[in-house]
Amino acid sequence: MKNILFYAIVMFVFSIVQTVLIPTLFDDLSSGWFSFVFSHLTIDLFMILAFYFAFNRNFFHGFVWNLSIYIVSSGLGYTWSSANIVALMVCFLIIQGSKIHFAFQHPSPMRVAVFLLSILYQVIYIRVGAGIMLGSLLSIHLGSLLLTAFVHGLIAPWIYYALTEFDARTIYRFEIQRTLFTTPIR
Amino acid sequence: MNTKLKRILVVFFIGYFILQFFSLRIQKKHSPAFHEKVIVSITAPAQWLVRQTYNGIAQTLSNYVFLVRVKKENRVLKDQISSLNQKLVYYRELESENLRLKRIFNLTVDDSFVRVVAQKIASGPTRFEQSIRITKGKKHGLREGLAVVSPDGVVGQIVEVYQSYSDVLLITDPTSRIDVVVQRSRANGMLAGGVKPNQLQFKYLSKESDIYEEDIVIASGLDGIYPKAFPVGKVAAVGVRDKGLFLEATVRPYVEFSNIEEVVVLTPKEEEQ
Repeated sequence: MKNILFYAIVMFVFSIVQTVLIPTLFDDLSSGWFSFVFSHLTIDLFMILAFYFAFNRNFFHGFVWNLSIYIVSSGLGYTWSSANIVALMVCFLIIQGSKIHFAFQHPSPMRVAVFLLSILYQVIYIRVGAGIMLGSLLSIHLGSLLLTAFVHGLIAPWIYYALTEFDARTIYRFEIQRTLFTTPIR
Repeated sequence: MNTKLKRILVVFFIGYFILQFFSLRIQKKHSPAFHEKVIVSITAPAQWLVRQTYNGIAQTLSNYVFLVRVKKENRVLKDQISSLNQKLVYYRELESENLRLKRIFNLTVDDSFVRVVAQKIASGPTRFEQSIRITKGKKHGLREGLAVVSPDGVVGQIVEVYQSYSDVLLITDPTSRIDVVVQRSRANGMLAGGVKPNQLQFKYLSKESDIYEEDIVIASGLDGIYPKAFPVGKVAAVGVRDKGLFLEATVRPYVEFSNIEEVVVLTPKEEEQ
């Protein structure tokens, strides 16, 4: 219960940050020197959270959490919500299927994994959502995709570290899981 | 000193003072008397010293009191400045809101529409899809497919309606389409978003179309969503005419989407009634 409440609060905070604070900040910054960076950058905190659940939960719990993320985030104004669930589920299945290879003990490989998964997620999202062909998608959005994936890769390990720390205190005594980082499991 | 001499001296002094007294009464004195000079020469330095000391003390006291008062006054003034600054920011915000609202109310739209003014509260969660959330919804008479405009031009259309909020798909979204005409030549085409931020692209524009840079593009009204002749943007670039099946052209919208604060939703009048 404590865990569910915590993640409900996390999602609430993420929704405010993602739809109000980040766009406003980036809009303000996109008129300056780094206009290209901020007008093309997206920070999708819900995607980062979905990856975390896919990595750090078993199939059933991961699926339920990913579904919850889809339900919560669909209220945020995603106009391509059908694309959202497709991208989420594809990434979830890939992570779950190859989870045994993702025993991260350090942020660096985690960054690479999130970078690649983020590109995949966005490509599926834009392809399904906007119906753009892969060639034109890459020619138009390549810069944006790489930049966004790079920033996701940078920030995700820190978010995962904090969440793993919290999970280690609340649920790991009930659920045997492989953690993303080496944290004491009680 | 013997008694005789004492008597002589007393008489001399009395005579001297009587003479002085009478001379004062008879004529105007030209110079101070001797005794006055003596007294002044003794008392004046002391007077000066006392006066200076007094002045010094008084000055110090008054300065101290003044400083205390100034300090207090300074604090009060600082508080006042801070409060006035806050008010200034607030009034500037009001002024800017007032100007924006004035522009909105001066908006000229077809009489068949009712204007519903709404505020933007959030942006879409990613940069790939271009949408905003506004503060008016079903209870204000809004429904999906209504046109959303601003005093600068077309903003987008409503794609999702909640009780008190709505989601607006901006014309810059890759899935957005708007039927337009070039104001000068009446060349017809369809604009789509998604190429670059704040840029629209013509779709299926005939190679023979009479279109040049800086041409004004307006809504054709044929899509049944956007009011006819409402400004959309200006042609930013026109491609090479000999290449491909269609002519490529990009349009820069008049609306600066990152600066939107208020928008107007156009509701058809019959619906409102």
